[in-house]
Amino acid sequence: MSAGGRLFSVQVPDWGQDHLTVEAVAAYVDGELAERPYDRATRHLAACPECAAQVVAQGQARSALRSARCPSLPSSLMSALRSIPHDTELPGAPNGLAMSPEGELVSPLDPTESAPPAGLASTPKPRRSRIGAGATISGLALGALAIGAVIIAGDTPTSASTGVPPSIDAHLQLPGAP
Amino acid sequence: MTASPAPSTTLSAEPVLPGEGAEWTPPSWDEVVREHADRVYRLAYRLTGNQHDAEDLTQETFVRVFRSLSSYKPGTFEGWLHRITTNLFLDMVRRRARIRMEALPEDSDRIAGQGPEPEQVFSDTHLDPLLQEALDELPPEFRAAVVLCDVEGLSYEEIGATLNVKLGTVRSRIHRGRAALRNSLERRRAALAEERQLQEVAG
Repeated sequence: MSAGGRLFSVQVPDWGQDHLTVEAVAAYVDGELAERPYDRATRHLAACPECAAQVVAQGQARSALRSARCPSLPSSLMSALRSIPHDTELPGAPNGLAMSPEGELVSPLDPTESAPPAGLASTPKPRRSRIGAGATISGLALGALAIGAVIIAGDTPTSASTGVPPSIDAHLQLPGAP
Repeated sequence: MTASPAPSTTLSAEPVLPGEGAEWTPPSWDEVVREHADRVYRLAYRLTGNQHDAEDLTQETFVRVFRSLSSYKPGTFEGWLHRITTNLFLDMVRRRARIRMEALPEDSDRIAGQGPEPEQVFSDTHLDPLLQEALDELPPEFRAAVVLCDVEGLSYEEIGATLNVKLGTVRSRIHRGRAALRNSLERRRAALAEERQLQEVAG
């Protein structure tokens, strides 16, 4: 070693020898590491049974969950969800309007007239007050309501389901694009 | 500079995803339900661990969706659903924890085993009951991170946005959650195997 060498004798950190942090182990298994840390981790794992075991364990839990079959939606719940427009007050709706089962805005005439839809008997929650049936269709579609948030005021459609996507044909500018 | 196509970071981009904007037409309520109910229920089931709570949570999520449809921005619907479902779940858990703390101070051994019986889960859904049990054992915040990752397949960034936590927190919750899940699963499987062996010897 030369005298000058002493100054620089500090070992260049060999990343391959550092154990992976637990965060890195999870990110490695999920493919969430950037390219360089991923390569570093791969090199380390080849030589470190300890970390490799952690990666295997993470992978086992991951695939146990991913391969598990999922419960299917009970049909009674499906019909309860479909009739939410019957059963829910819509605070955001224009004055005097409610939502019909078809998803159209309607003005309720006689809310007391409607009977509970079938399939709700098993629902555990107390029912919400009923609006919607026995109503006249105002011609405003649910879509118009949904779109309302993204269009400029002057363009507000007043007729039903025009289906024209307003002002969303602008090009998507990705950050960092030239 | 290499102008590689950056992955679409929906957080900072316009509220329309590529390929979705042009043909986006407003869905009817029926379409919303048909398209998303299964997914929301699956998430709700994995989070709550039983059919009753999963149904409640799904219903509550869709009511919330229905009420705030006017603030919905095209292209973020699924992320929106994930956020609503997960946050309602965490609210529910916290509310119940509070109620238990106030009402049942000495009944602490029931808290650990408040989930449904394994046979119940199995007959309800034919899920691997051990897996759901192990999942139920995780603290809710860890369970949410693991479920969003491994049941819903969200990226870490999406999970961070859903749970409103930093990326490092997402990583460590997933790691610790999975590690605990696996240990619990192994313990349960070993116990089950032992039990079966004993039964065989006895019978």
